[in-house]
Amino acid sequence: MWALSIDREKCNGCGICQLACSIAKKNSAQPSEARIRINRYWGEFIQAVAVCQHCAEPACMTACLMKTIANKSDGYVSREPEKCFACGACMVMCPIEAPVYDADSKAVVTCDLCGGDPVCVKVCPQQALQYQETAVYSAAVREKQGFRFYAWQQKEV
Amino acid sequence: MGAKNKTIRCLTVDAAAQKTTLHEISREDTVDRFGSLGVHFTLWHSIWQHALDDANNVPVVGISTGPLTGSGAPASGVFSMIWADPHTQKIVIRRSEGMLGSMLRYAGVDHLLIYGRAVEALYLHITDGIVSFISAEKHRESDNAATYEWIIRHSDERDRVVVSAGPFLYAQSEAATLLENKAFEIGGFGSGAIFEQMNLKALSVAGRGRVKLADAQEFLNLCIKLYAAFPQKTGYSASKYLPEIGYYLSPWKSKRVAITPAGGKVLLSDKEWKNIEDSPEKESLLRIKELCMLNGLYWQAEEIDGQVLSAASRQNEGELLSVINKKAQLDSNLLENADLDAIIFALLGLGWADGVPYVEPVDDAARLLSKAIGEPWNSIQLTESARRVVRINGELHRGEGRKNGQK
Repeated sequence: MWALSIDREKCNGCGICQLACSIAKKNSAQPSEARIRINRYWGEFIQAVAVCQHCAEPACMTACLMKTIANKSDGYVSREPEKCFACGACMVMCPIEAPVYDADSKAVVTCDLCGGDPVCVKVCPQQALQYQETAVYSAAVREKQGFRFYAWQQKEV
Repeated sequence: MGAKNKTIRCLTVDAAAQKTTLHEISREDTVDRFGSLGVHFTLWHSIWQHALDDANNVPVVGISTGPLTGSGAPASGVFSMIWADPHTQKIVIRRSEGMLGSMLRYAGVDHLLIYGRAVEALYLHITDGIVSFISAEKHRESDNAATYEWIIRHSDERDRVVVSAGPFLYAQSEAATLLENKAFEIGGFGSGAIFEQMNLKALSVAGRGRVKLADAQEFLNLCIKLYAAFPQKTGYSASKYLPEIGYYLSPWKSKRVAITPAGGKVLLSDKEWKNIEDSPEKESLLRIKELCMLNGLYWQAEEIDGQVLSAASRQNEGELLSVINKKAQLDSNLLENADLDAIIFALLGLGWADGVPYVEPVDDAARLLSKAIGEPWNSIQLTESARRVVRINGELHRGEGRKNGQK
């Protein structure tokens, strides 16, 4: 199973992924309707990337009145935009505000992983976005946490 | 191929009467005055000189984007500002970076011209091309952070870009600048003063529109290639990346770099100008600034470097006058000596820095432009356009500023 992973320590909120996504999906630079977005909170100087996490138990799927959202066995939450009537229930339910209203198709859409070749990964100069097997990703996370724990232990000693 | 951008949308705002007008200028009408600065010059000749200078010292500020501003290309967050300095009435042209230019384009505005002095302090909000005026009279003394917080708190648009002047009275200072979103200085030296002169506390822009790309897929492929070249070019490993490195590449807020369109002489950085107020060399430095403006020489921002201030402090008027005495010679050599590549990038709305991964800079810029606007452009044409703009720029400065506003 492959997944889009985000290393939030590397991400600097430059927004390149957001614009590249909009060019790939909408043939124009329109960050407001990109499927990956940077949430900026200048008050706290926080910039964080938000994109569909293809949850194991998607809240959006539960909320969808038209049953246009499906959770496939390969870890990919798919949508059928042609059946969507943009009620926005999924947008309300999503904890990370990933669904985006697409004015061209008049439907709510989310990241479709570009069919397995995400453009956001290709353009990320920080290599903060990776498209990789979940096993590889979780191993990297475990390794990072292990090093942190080791460093903490050394500090304690 | 997608739709082409055939017109430049120019929004003019009369701050005194609180009225707005949207002009559409054909790109064909600006062929000789190409890019962000070219639009400034076109408007200068068609609107400012004829309409505004007759009205006796009406304060004016123009913000102009290039054809690639906000397009998503590496470092395409560049725009330029032009205004008449409130203290000398000389024309100041500054290239700047930030989110403002891109957001203006997403709001449906390629060029924004604000003129007139509002009766009371104003917030000017632009939302998808719609302008609203809100009184800021109670917030005249607010600092940039408080202004930003107030506007965001009263806005439905979370991505709104806020450009604010500091507390009025402070903003009168010659060194006052504008601050974007509490985070970036834009416009540079004197831009805060022109906002205060117009009684404009802040300009905020939110846009959900798009920058059309004629050949989006090819444009994206080219961008992917350029972005991918960044780690190889810089030699940085991901673990060594600093947060600010993204600014080199970000289409929203590219890194500020030096550009000296006229004299090729870098004097002071913005940060250093800010320090002038407390500097023992204040008088001397301000005289240098005035001499530069009178003679069409530019000071411009460059990388923040403490060494530059000390070097500039040592620079005396005599040295500068010797430069000015060689002005005729300088003018004739100008086109050969000017950094045309940097000017080309500024015209297009692209950042120019070592960190930006252009392999063949001008050729890459020409390719990006071709894919964006759907017309064939090459490096020779771009270089010729830059030469024309430098020439027009020289003519503008020989005019010594505003017709009725000179001191």
